[in-house]
Amino acid sequence: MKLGLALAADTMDGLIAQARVAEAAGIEIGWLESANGEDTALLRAAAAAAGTGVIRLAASVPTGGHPLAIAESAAVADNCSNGRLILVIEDAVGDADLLAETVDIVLSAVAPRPFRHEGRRWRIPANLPENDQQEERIILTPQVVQPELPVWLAGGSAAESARARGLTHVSSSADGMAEAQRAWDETDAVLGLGSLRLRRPWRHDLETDDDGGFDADAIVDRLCAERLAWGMDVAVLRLPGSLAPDAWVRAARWIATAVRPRVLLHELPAGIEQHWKEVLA
Amino acid sequence: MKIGLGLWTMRSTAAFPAAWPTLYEQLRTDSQLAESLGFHSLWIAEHHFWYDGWTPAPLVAAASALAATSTLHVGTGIHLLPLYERDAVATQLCALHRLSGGRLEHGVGLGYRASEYDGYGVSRRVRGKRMDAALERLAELGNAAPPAWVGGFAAAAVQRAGRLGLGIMLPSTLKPDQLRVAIQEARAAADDAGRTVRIGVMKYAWATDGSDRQHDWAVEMLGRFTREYSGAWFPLKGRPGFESPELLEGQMRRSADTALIGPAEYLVAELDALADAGAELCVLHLVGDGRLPERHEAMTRISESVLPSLGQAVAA
Repeated sequence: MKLGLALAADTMDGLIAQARVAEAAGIEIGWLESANGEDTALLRAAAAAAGTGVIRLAASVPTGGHPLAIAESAAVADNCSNGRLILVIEDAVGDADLLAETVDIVLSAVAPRPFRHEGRRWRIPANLPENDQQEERIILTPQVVQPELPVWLAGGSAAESARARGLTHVSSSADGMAEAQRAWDETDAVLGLGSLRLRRPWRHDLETDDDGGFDADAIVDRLCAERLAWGMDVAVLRLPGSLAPDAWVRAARWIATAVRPRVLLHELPAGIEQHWKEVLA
Repeated sequence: MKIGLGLWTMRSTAAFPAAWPTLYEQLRTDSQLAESLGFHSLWIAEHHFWYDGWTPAPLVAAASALAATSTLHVGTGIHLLPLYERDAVATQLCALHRLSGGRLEHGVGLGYRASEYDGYGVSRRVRGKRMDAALERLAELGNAAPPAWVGGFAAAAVQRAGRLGLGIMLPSTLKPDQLRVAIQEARAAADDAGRTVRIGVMKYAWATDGSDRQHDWAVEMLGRFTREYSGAWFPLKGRPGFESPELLEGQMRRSADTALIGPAEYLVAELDALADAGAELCVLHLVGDGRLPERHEAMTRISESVLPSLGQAVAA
């Protein structure tokens, strides 16, 4: 299982500090969201990349923007991070057609070949007479660093669109375990062996207990249960927004020490969890 | 007068091939060097769909450079604002402005390549209207948006900058008399609107050691740069330069004749003259193309031998 942490600082220094803490603790993915429909995640991914060297950066971009702008920004962010970008396209408004066409254009645009698109919303290139432009196809440069840019889909119609394109969709704890299981059962049925190559990410908000701390046993139990039920293999955890910067750092390190070792293996030998508790006490 | 450096494009060209992620890494290390050398800003250009990878997302590249530095300003020189949906881009600009602590300089321009507008499904005919609408949207946001510099020297651009009380970023190829006229027009437009206008100038530049060898090398680098893009797609009387060799030669001569290529004392005199004319910011567009050691040498020479001497003649 890979663990991710939502990076949510509102300054450049704070963002880099969070990314560095997560990276140093062995957290595999820093997750950048575009809150309130704002399309700023790729900017913040490029910023976080400047202060890190290993951690993957998942940037969640809402539908609604021009797909070429999303693709070009993703390509530059992938180059800024030397190939560490995961592009998450989020159906923010429950519009399946919009998500589908956005994804189709982005996938075409980040492929290393000239392309043309004619869809319901967009025609690329448009070949508008007043532009005196007769190119049949265009190519996006710079090309992405990775041989294949990871494109994950999230939000309302994500599972259906992802399934049709052989892509990963992101589940959410807010939708419940049964819904995640149903969606992945359907994906398995449609893709067969093709689903083996897909990651199964899951977003989850962590809540503090009455003492302001986190219940490690409950979190570990939940992660293992989700994995057992539908194969969840990437858990992206969002810490409470109310945490002060130093509390955020402590919580991130706590996840790396009190949670991560306990969720990597299918089963742990008797006694080792008690040993870890003693070591960390 | 503040001195910035430009234009970072992250291009892997036929003459100077490189890995694109390496070029973006160099953007960050060059930004750190520029900051340590005392420059005000570093500027990033924008183009689309070209073989060399000329960066198509300058705000993302700027985020990377801003994150790698702490005091340096990072500018777009220029951002093709009319291509984009105005509310979405305003959100991004405000976010980057806020995250960076106000270090983003927002240079904007209309651009000219038909294929870029056509890729985005925007008619070139409406780019001026779209520019006005986007700038007015940013103006409504006040201090939440970064300061804008309107690129160009056409009457519409100069009027736009003055009317809205923004900055004007005048291009490198202007001769001194053209420069003075543009500055006067921008100030007149600002006066009419009851506003003030900031004056910026971009200049092709290279600091040499005074030798003919370095001067000739820099002129050749500038020539290669302008020949390639002016030849392939910069419209000269409506057609790319490679289809009009005489016009292309003329464009290259204009670029070379107006460039600031020479030893430190020459650059100091020319930059002081620009300041006297009213420029508050000059972005030196380094002409060394993809040559990294030479670029760092020129940056260091400007820092050590030009920046400390600016304004000294006036002060004396």
